[in-house]
Amino acid sequence: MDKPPPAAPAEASPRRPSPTELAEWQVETGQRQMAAVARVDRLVRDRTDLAEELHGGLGELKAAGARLDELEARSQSTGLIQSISRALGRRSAALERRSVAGQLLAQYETVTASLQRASAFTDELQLCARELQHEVDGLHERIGHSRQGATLAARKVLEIEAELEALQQSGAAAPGAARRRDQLRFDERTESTTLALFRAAAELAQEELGPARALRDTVLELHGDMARFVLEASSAVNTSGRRVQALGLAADTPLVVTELHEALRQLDQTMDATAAYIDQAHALLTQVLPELNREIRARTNHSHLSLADDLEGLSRERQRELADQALREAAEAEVGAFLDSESG
Amino acid sequence: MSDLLEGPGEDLRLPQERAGPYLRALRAALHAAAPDQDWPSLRAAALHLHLLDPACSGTLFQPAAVDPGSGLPSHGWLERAAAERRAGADPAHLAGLVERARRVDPVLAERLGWRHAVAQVERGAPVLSALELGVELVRRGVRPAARIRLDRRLPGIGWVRLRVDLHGRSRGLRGLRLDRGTGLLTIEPGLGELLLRHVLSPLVLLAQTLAGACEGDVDRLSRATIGPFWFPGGALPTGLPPEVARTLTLHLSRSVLSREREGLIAADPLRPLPPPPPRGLGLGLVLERHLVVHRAGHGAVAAWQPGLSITPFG
Repeated sequence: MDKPPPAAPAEASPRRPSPTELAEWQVETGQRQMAAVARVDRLVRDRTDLAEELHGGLGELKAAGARLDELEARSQSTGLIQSISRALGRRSAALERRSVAGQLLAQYETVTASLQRASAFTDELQLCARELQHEVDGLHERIGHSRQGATLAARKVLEIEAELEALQQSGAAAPGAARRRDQLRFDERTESTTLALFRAAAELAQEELGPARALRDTVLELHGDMARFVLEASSAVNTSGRRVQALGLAADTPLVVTELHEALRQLDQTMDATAAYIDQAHALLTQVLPELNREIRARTNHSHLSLADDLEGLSRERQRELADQALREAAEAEVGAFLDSESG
Repeated sequence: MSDLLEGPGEDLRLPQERAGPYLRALRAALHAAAPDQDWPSLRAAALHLHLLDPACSGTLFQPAAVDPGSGLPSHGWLERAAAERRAGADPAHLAGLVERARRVDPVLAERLGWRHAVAQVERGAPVLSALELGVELVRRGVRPAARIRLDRRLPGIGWVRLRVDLHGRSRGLRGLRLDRGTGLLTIEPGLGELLLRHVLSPLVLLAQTLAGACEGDVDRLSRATIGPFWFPGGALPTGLPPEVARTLTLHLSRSVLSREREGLIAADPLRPLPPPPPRGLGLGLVLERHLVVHRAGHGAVAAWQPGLSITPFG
């Protein structure tokens, strides 16, 4: 008979698992795997939703950016402002004009929020991958532990076999041989059971290793894809961010200039109307009224018109102030009516 | 010389170890300025800067970058923090992730911890928005009055607020819709977008445009800007005295067109004078600028611009 292999240097024997412990471990591992599968399933769905949300948002952002490019190109063309000024005459049209900048900023805010959610999701994927790797590593450790235990148990069985063989050859009459033989047979059965349990533990762990590794690799792939997507999307969003802020204003420039021209035109008209009224008032005060007063006095010998008296009694400056105030109010009323008619 | 790195596009990248001190200095300057409601919200600005601080969010919102024109945090840097708030992460879910991560990956646990911290800071409180419109009803009736506010972060300029007080004539205010049931006043998209594109227009002409568009009268119109923020190593205008370039200076400027004053009153030597408002409008224009300067450079800045209002901080 072959001699048993030389015993390894003394090493601690792994604790033999009981059948109950093995069964419980098998159930717990199965439950963990099912929970992990459910978690990964949810992560896959969330990843799909997020990717679609982000992809759609980036598409709209890109389209809005293209609109800005178009508007900016148009704003560089000559004669545009003048043609717009002629075409757009009504102040009420200002309320109907749309701002590319407002729409673009709103879209940018939506996309950046999606991007932050995607970044947070990437962290969660990384965590899940780490946990699954931890599970895989745990299975490897269990396999190694079980195989070590099985090896030690197998060595002991072979040692016991060798001793039994020696006893057999020395003869049944040797003192204490029968007792020793019974003890050895008990030890052999015990170690054989230990060997079987360790082998079962190793096989169970080995069976779980494949699915755990596959789940881990799935999540790793999800994480890699998502991380790359977030990186590319961040780059695109960062690049467009400042461009969005600045180009929004540039794209509206023709519109702004048109509206400011209208405002200036209205101001000019307002001031022209006021100045004209004041000029008329001065003519009225300094020429027409005094003449009229003299005529009335001459015809009726009545006392001075109270108005003429009041006017003559005031300083020239005070007359001007009162006239200015009264006529400004009249001018404002007329301008208000003018603007109403323009927008009506 | 600047130790700032050129980042993507035109923004200046801040080395990570400088991000925290930069943000805390800016926050301190803002608190010292204590801007009123003509300026963007101090509370929103302070919270936003706190979220960006690596002491709160670690490397979550990196890279730190500065707008070279305004010296304020770049749009991208601000937007990452604002977007994280808009994403609406559930703190309880994040707490669970942190706990799980601690068992398998300490580095990932730290990152998730930052995300959890950000999700918990003053939940529901606003941060600076890239664009925000608000309106409140001041007076009901045949001649209603309203106050409209537009906040906008503008590249190269800073954080701008446009505020308009206006009243209707005889037919209400066009561009504003009042829900008679709830009493809620909303701005119609057309009016909002008109304000958006005129955020930098001359106030006198903007007042005219608004008056026509709303079929009302403007009583007060203001534009207030936070920025620029000058700091060593940042982009500074040429010709600054060296001792001014070495200190920290936050600018707050304001233009107000209102019926309270007449003519043009200018207390801002750092920008060109606009033409005075026409007399017939009944509106006067006031320009002002306020500097908030680090204590160490206060004397130098005061000597450089003796006519300006200056507040020390730090």
